[in-house]
Amino acid sequence: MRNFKIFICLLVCAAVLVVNAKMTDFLYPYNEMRVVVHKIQTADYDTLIIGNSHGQCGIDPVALEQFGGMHAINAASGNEFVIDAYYLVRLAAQSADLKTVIYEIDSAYWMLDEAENCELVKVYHEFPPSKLKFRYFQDKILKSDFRTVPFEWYLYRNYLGRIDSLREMKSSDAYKNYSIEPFRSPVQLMQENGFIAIQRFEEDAPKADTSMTWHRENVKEKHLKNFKRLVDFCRENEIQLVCIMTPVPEVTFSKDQPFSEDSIAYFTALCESYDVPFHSYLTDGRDGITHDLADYDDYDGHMYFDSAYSFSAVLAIDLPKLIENGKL
Amino acid sequence: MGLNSFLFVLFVVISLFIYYVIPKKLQWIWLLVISYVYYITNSRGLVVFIASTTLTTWYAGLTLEKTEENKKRRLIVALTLLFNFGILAVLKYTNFLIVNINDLFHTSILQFSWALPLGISFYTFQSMGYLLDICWKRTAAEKNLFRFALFVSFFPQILQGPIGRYSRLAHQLYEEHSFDPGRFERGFQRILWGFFKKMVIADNALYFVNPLFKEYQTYDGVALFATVFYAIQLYMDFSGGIDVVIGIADLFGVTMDENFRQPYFAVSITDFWHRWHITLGTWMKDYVFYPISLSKWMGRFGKWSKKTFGKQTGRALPICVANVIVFLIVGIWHGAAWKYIAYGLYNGFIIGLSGLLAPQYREMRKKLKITKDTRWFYVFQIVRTFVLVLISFFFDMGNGFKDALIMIRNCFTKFEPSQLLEIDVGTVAASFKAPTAILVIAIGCIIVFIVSVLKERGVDVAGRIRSANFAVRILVYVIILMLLPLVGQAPLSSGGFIYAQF
Repeated sequence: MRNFKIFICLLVCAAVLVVNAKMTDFLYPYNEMRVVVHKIQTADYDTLIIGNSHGQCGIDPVALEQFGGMHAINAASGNEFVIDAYYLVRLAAQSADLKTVIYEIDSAYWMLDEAENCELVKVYHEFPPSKLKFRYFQDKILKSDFRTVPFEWYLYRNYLGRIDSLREMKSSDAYKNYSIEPFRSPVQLMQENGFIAIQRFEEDAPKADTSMTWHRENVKEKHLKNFKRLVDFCRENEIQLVCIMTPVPEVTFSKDQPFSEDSIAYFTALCESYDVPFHSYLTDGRDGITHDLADYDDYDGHMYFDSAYSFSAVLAIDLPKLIENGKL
Repeated sequence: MGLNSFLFVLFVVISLFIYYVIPKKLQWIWLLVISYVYYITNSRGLVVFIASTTLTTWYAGLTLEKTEENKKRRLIVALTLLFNFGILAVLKYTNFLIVNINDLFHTSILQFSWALPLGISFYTFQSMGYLLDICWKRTAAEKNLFRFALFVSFFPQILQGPIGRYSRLAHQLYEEHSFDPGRFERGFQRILWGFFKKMVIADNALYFVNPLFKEYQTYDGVALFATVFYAIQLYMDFSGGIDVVIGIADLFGVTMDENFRQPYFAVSITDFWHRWHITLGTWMKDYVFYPISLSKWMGRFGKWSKKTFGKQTGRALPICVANVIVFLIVGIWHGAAWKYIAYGLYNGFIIGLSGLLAPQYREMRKKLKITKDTRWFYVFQIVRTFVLVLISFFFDMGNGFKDALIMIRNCFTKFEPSQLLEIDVGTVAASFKAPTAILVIAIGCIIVFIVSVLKERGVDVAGRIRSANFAVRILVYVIILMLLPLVGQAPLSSGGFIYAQF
């Protein structure tokens, strides 16, 4: 009888795990990272762009190719922390002949802990089952709330109310073929290379202001550790790592935000200590680089598509000098 | 490695498996190993502090036992207390001192930025309690350093207590334990119950507590709700964490002291502190209150106060003073800020004054013909005590002393409950609207209330469930387990539990 009860307990545990795994799979929303990770594994490229939303909509791979001859995938994304960027590079190195990594540094993220929400698993979830994903799991998910493992769906449980649309999406050709169409709206157009082109509008939409104050003492130790791992990995695999900070509106730089003289100094010193080329475009005033708020979607520094194209052209020309000299 | 992390779950599962597989005489060694592994994983180099407390206390205990001369014994105790409480004081309160010196004398002394060793408040009190027990010959000294190290560092309790007593805890840690399915289920139940209180109730309430206190000027019409939500959050979080700790210890065959006994059913503030953080209260009673009350200087003070104020007041005044001192220490224990000291003194003065004014209170009840044993009087006492506790929480959670007073004033001058509806509860893609969250909290509280009432009447609710049909038990456990992801909130900070900061 006791063995029977143990058997039933184990069966119930297994059933709970299986049902919840299915729920996780089913409820997980289709987001642009699915497309990006698929591209990383299947496309032909030699340059990977990592970082956050500024990089996602600020660095246009088309311009990099036209002006620098680079074939790039843009894998930058909001809430992509250093650990996520590190694993994206490792996945790319496994899948393609990766020569260059352009890391767009947003100093705000270096002061933050990863929040326990759906963004926590945004990159991790899309990785194919593999040894790499297991290591990613050990590094990131193991230390998170225990529900994230058997009940990952709890991070996006609001989708329980959208089962019909989820079912429709997951059975569509767009989902199966990793289409970018679901991520193209009048406001933002995702490109095949991962770049998000933010469109201009005639009417005066209020600019979003998501300010955060920069304090170098608040930089988290774990982000520094993961950055070192990224640097070491690139070095060991002969991948050229280049770090940049993308331009921001002049009015943003004048506030005491993550885009400031001190943050530039901090990351300059950090990259120099690892012999990694670094340049801050935060206040770079050369032709092609705009700091006019009218050329941005918000105060935070998300460029409109044309501003991004111009900036990326400058970046493409700068990169060889930056790599050779370590700075401009 | 917080109590709610997956890594901790794996750690406990693997530790348990090995614990019951290895020869029983090695079980306590394995417990010591995993306790230190847990400690080092969380605190790294700060392990030197718990190690030094362990070594000094163990050595002092042994020396004390061999020494009969009173003067020498007092010196050993004094030096060990000074050393260990000194470490706690320096690490926890230096910056508080610096801030106040800077404010008073307009200096700019730099503060230190150092991390607190994990569980320092808990293991220091626990070790010093052991030392004083040896001093007062209540227990024999542990001769084995490693066994004593296990008593100090036992991993389930290191994060947030309960503060254990050597006489009750130690022998269980060193005993041999066989796997007991009934006990295992009891432990599992307790853990599940703890996470239910923490994740479903406390973590939802936190989304109201944070804005209502931090932005109290914006949410000035719901100050009363702020303290009610905090009362819910604090109790569910702290007691939930203790449930998890006690449940884990149970899995290893160790019974820890209870730390809560339906505190919001208390009939007085004194009763509240017999029900809330019980192990801290009893520690203060045994190692601070009684020594102060029975000390020579308190005796002299008692004689003087009897002469000056008469027999009744003279007898009550020393106890009043002792209570104020105890609760001053309780306030300081909670944190390095004036608001915690205010919190402690608030409780101390209420308890002290209630003792001093007990005869007058009895007179008033007699005149108003109020019978103590009636139900309505019992309910009145509970409500009165709860209101007093709610007021104290303004000081505990408020941004500062002045802000707490403003919030208390707002309770009487403004009332706009619709302000609550502006609050979103939860994270992106997993959030609730305020009414839904309030419903979840309310239903959770009702469940806890029913269980509490049954426990107050002596009903062993967990035992009743364990004796139910096997299928029913499985169903109950699966339902509670599924509630954790369905309506529980994700932690806002790593580590998860409030009292882990001590």
